[in-house]
Amino acid sequence: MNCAVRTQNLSKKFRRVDALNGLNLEVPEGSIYALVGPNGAGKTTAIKTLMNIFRPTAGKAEVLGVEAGRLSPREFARIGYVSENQEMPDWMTVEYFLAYLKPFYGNWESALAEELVQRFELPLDRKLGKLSRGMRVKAALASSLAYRPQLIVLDEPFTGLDALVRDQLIEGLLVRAASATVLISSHDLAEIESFASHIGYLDQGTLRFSEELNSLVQRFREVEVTFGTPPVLPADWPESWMRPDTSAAVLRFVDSHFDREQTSLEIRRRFDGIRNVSFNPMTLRAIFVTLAKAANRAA
Amino acid sequence: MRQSFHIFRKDVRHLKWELLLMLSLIAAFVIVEPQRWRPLYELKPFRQAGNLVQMLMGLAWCYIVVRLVHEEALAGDRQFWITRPYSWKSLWAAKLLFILVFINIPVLIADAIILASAGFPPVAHLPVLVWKQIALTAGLATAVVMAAVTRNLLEFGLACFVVAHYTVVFEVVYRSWPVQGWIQVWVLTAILLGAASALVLYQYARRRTLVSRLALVGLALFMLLAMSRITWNLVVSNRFAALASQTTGSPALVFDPDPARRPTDKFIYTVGDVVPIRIPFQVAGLPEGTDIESAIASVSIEAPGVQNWFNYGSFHYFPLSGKSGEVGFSVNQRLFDEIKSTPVTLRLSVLLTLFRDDSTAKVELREGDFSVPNVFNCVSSGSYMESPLCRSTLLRRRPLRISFTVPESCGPVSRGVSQGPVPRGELRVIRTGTGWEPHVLDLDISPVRASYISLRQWPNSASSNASPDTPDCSGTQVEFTTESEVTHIRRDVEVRGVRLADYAMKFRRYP
Repeated sequence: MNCAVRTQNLSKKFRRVDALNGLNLEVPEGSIYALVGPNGAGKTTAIKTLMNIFRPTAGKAEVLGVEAGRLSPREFARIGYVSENQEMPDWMTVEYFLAYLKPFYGNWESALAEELVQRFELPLDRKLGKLSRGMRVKAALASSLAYRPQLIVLDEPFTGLDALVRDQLIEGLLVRAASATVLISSHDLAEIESFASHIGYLDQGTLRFSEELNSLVQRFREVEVTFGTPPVLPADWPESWMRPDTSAAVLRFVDSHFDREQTSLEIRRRFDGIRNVSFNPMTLRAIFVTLAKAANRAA
Repeated sequence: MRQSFHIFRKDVRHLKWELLLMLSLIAAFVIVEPQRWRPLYELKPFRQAGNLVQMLMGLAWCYIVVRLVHEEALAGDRQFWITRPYSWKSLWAAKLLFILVFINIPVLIADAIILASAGFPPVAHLPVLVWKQIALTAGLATAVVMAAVTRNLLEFGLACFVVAHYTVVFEVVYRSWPVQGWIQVWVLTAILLGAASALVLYQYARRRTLVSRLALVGLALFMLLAMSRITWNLVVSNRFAALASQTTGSPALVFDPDPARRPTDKFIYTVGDVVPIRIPFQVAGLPEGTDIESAIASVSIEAPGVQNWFNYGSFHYFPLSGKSGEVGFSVNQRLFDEIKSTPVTLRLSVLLTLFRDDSTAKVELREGDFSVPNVFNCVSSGSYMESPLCRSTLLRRRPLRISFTVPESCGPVSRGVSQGPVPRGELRVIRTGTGWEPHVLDLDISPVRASYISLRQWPNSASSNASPDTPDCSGTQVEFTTESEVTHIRRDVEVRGVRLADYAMKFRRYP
């Protein structure tokens, strides 16, 4: 598998805090990879290490086939990076900002830049410092898409934006994403779910899982088992059955390795007096909450 | 290079108003500076503004350098440009170009104009212009490196606050050198230019702010060490070692046991817990047309029951007082009390620089301007100050001899407390120096310095406010003789049976 981003045992320490702990991440070329995780999980640190903003304490990171520590202007000309807390040259107008960046990129497309400006409804004569938060992110994104980057890296781009702006951003991104790899970190799981192809769950600097979104959604199910009498949880409770909850004669849990036949078989093997079993698909948000709670309990 | 010009144009666009202000200050510097060379009595309207303009100009440079570097701040992890295809070399070159075009070149032009207005052709004084550029660049490099490790003006301000406190310590340390001047300035400039430039390059290439900040602290400590007495001892001991020891030859230093040259007052003078000692000498066999300068000396004392004591001191030469001299050094009070009455042996070693008469210029002194080619351009006030105000350039100091015979028609001069009657018909010789020795924390950025040549009993022309009994001394022929360096020699002298109490500096206590 060709990867636009690949890390091996990537670690980053800030004094005594392990922000990244042996991260092994692979972002396939052409994918829209969502890096999710709770606050402080290490998402921004991972992205900033990939962008050579932070130096790793240990391990390796490769971006577009180049070691992250050796990213040169040649590679940055093929990367579009937008971060929620990026400091912009506030004194520049949107028009001058785009005009200023143009000569840095050999394949800057003025027509595309114009199209993005129109799509994002950016006021060309307004200074960046006078723009709203949403407008600033849109200006940053427009300036990062106008040269058709091979890799688009977005660090929490939707934080604090209203739904309309989010939609505009996602639309603008998806139009350009067809020929690019997108790595996006976000809390906004509902938005991610609508367009991500892959997902990685980062927790306490460690990647808990990384897979295609479809496969993830397929393997997580909320299972509801109805009994004649209140059930007793067996001693050999499988690890993949998470958050068991009994309420009168109903048992609910989340199966993280769902397979209709296998799961049904396992349930019947462990319980008697089953009246009904139902399997309900889960939203990405529900999966994320389940995982986060399980991780908290383990901690 | 194209990227550098692109960034440069952007910086000019953003900092245009600051640039305009800074260039205006440089223009003001050119206009105001010549007024600082005029005598006090002339009361030019902007005479006092010179210092203010210089201070504002220094602040403006500092501010613009910080703003320039912070346009693409190197410290921090949120700047937009760090994930854009900036080449660090282009970025660095753009900033360098900006500083060169808007600070170095305008200052070079301003300096050349100031030199020309002071009567020094700029082309003939290129070393001054070059030195000014080097010193300016060293200062700017310091500002750049501080800006390169800070994120914003606030952080830079805090760094300046720390530097201000550091400067106080630094001044105390560098003043521990018995002789201050060019050596220190060159050492400091070389360190700043070399280390600060290297740090700037490192920070631009790697953006490792923590490492750079630590290196900067290391540099500050290293500069303290470089300016400390340890370095001075090292430099001087090397200079002593480099010159062969000579006890004979000319000129010779001969201990002068004449009791008349011993301090006669009763009370020993102390500075803190040290006692200054002055050992008198005669300088013999100095060939005609040659001269020596006061210099560094080393002194060791051998006394019964005392471990061999060694320290550095200085040799002062008084050519106008029978070619005499003295070696001055200090011993601590405890040692002095222990051995002051015991005959001791002194081993003295003196580094001397021999000078030969170079060129002589004869000037007829009149009220108004006069010039000593390549040395001074002066204005003779003819007023109560008596001494002419002379402009010189920032060049290495060389001895200068001024001699004149007071015309019979001149004197007595009734003005001035210390002047007394003018000795008519007598040859007066005054030793001074050409050029100007800067010191480490010299904040004057002008390439021209003005100072009054202290000429006691100067037979100057009468002025409008002279009293009626003051005769006119104008037209006096004054000879200015410059001297050039011939060689360095080392003279070792041993003096036996000296009682330090006889040569300790003393004072008279008045009831």
